[in-house]
Amino acid sequence: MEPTSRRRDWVLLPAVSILTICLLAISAELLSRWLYPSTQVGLQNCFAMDDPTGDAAVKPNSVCWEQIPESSLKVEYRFNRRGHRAGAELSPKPPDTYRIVLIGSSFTQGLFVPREKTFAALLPEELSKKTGRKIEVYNEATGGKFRGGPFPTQNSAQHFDAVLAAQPDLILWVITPTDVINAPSKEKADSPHRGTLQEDPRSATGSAKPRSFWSNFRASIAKGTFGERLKSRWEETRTSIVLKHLLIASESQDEYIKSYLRNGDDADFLKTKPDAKWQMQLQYFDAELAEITGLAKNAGVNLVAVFVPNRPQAAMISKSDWPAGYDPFTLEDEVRDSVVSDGGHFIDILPDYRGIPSPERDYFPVDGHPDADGQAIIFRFLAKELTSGTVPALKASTPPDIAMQPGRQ
Amino acid sequence: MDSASLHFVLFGLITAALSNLSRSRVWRSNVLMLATLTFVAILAKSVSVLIPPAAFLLFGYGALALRQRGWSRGAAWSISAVIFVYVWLRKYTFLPERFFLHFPYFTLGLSYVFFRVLHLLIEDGEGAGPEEKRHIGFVPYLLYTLNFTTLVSGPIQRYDEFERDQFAVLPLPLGPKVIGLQLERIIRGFFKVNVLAMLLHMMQENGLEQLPQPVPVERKVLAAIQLTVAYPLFLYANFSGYIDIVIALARLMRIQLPENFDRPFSASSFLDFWNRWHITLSKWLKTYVYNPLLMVLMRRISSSSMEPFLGVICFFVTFFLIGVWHGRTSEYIVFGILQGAGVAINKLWQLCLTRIIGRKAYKDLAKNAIYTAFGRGLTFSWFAFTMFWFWANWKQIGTIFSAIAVAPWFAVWLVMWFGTTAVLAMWELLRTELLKIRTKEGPALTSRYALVVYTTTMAVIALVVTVVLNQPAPGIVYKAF
Repeated sequence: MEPTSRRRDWVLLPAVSILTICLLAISAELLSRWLYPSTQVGLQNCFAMDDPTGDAAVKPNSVCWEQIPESSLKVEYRFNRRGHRAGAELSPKPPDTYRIVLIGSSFTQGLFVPREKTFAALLPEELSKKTGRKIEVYNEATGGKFRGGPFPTQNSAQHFDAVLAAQPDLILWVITPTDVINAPSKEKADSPHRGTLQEDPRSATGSAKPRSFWSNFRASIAKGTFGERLKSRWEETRTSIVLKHLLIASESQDEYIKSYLRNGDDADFLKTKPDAKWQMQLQYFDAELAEITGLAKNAGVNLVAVFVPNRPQAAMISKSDWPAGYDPFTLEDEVRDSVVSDGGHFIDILPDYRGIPSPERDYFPVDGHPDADGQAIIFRFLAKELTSGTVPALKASTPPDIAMQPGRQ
Repeated sequence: MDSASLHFVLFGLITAALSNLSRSRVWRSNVLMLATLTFVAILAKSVSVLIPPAAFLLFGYGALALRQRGWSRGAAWSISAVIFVYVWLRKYTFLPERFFLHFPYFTLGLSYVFFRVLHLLIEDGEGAGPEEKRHIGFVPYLLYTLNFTTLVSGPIQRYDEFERDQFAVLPLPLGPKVIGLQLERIIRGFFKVNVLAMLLHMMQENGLEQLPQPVPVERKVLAAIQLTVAYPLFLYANFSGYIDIVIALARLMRIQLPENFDRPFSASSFLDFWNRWHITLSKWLKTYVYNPLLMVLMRRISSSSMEPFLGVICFFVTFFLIGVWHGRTSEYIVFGILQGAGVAINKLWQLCLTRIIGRKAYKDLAKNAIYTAFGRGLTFSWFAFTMFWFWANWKQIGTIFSAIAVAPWFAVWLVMWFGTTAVLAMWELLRTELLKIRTKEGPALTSRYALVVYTTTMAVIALVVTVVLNQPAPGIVYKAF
């Protein structure tokens, strides 16, 4: 190699390297956006994106569409006059109709799934068929911090008059681990600064004068938040979502459980002995639970709670084997005890997940919400357990459908 | 600190940088010793677990010192004793359980220490006259047997090669080009272990999970193919990636370690495969098992017509031992039998075909592209098939083979053979054609500019997967042996 060429290489080789990184980043992002498209049409029509209180997060009488990268479906969100994704307006309850009002969060609202494929939409026909009476299901769930208000449980408690206005014969409360994780302390819930949707870092909530890239960069270095900002910027990229999606979706059940449990804080609720922080969180949720159960009791309405597993929990139950120190049933046991001691009823669908080979495949891997197949599984288990006799008014008029096998539809 | 983690790489790079602060062999040896002791201390976590392996090392050195002092009559005894202590410490299941030590102790790298100790004991007494005899001090002995770059999973280096580089007055040169190439190799190795091996492991796990599920037979066949193909590729990425890292780190410390892999899946016969896969292990066993055994048999059986077939027996024994060395349980005995059978049948095939069609015709046939391609496919398929006894226990093997009937397994086998024949032939063709694109300095694909492009790509992907996505890769398989 000639000396000139050697000297030139000290500049050229790093330049080639930087160019490669740029090309790699751009092409990966473009390819991810092309293969995993995401669309949001008129989301601002449906949700009050910058409402600081979060109370009016869903706009009544609105419609919008959304497709997340992990889903092939563009989903319509149509909210009625009362701001509920119920499929129809709330009408006075006809005589000889049994009305169930669903409360809960994004799982119950059917986030990222067409309404007709949600368990809320599928339940009325199946329950009517099984019980031999007309059953209506009115869905009052809110999308939680994702779409439509930050604290669904708090929301249900604060607007319990709206729940009662639907004239329920039964309130079915679908609880998920996320509801417990997100249960706010009294102070936090009352704070005027509580967030609405997932915070949009680009929203105009900061100073009136936009700061330059360099002043932001300098400020984040000075505050020591540069790493966090970089991380959050990376997580906003489609490349990040797609890579995570592909990695999680490619993992076997065993590998998925292991890698999830390795991720510290997120897996705390699966521990047999929850730590102090988690105990505190459970107390916050217990307070909400007692409030809602008490309100239902005072109104003389039957309240039934059910716990729906999230992705790792479903995988662990299905595998029937988990590492020492963990138990996917612990949280449900805690919730059941609280519901029952507060005078509510509880139906148990978690053990039913044992009969499904890989239920985690029926959730969006990164986002964690159940997809249409996941909703169908919840629907089947709810229909089975609701008509098993726990709620006498819904006891199946015919023996439980033994042909209804667990698995994908 | 896992053996192919970012921490390990950083540890190795810091050691290499410190080692190069002076060219003095004393300085370089001190740095290597300090790094090795630190490495062992980090992995061992407590002193008590180090007592049995330390005793083994001392025992080995004692035997070596006695031989160096002329106690040649005890050679066979000392070698047998070292083998016995190794087998005892590794808790091979054919020994009664009650004889074992019933407390946890450190066995990481014990096999590779054993190979090096045995090599010293055998070589020290072989052929050399009194004037050629070298004296190996305790510190060089420790540096050689425990060198942190080769401790965990090899490669198995000869002492004379280690001595030549480590104690040289003029150590191996280390210019910008060598440094660049070693950094490229470290990144390539890191990518293989942490990205490729991780993905292939996922593929294998998925196949294993799907196989017993109540799904149509076509899906089971696909799962069986996925399971069978993924493991050898995973093992290659996992092991050769680690070897890439340690060879490059050692080279940065001015030690040239022997190569352990030479594109093994390009081998067109099982014999050739073992010349390209875990090369230092097969060389070690050929030197210390195959050759002496062949000599003994040839001395006892003088028939010249039988002579070529003695090689078949020796090959079987050598590769059976390779299989058995891998583990303590009965699965590895079957693995050894299958390895031995593979090379023995391969040798027998060569001998018979040469006798039937003649030496020249056989040589021509061996050069034939189609024959070579089918041989390559068959070699891969056989190796992949034997791998079940390498990674699975009897319960898993039972589940795998009972998941589908004999006929679908036959289909799996045929698809594997023909499929790998076609894929590997296309790969070889593509590689040959791409390497034909040349610049003045050589093939364009291996130019420093091309190397920078794919090294950067691999580095970015590996960092995203390991650091940003925090996706763990399986540990180095061979560190368990």
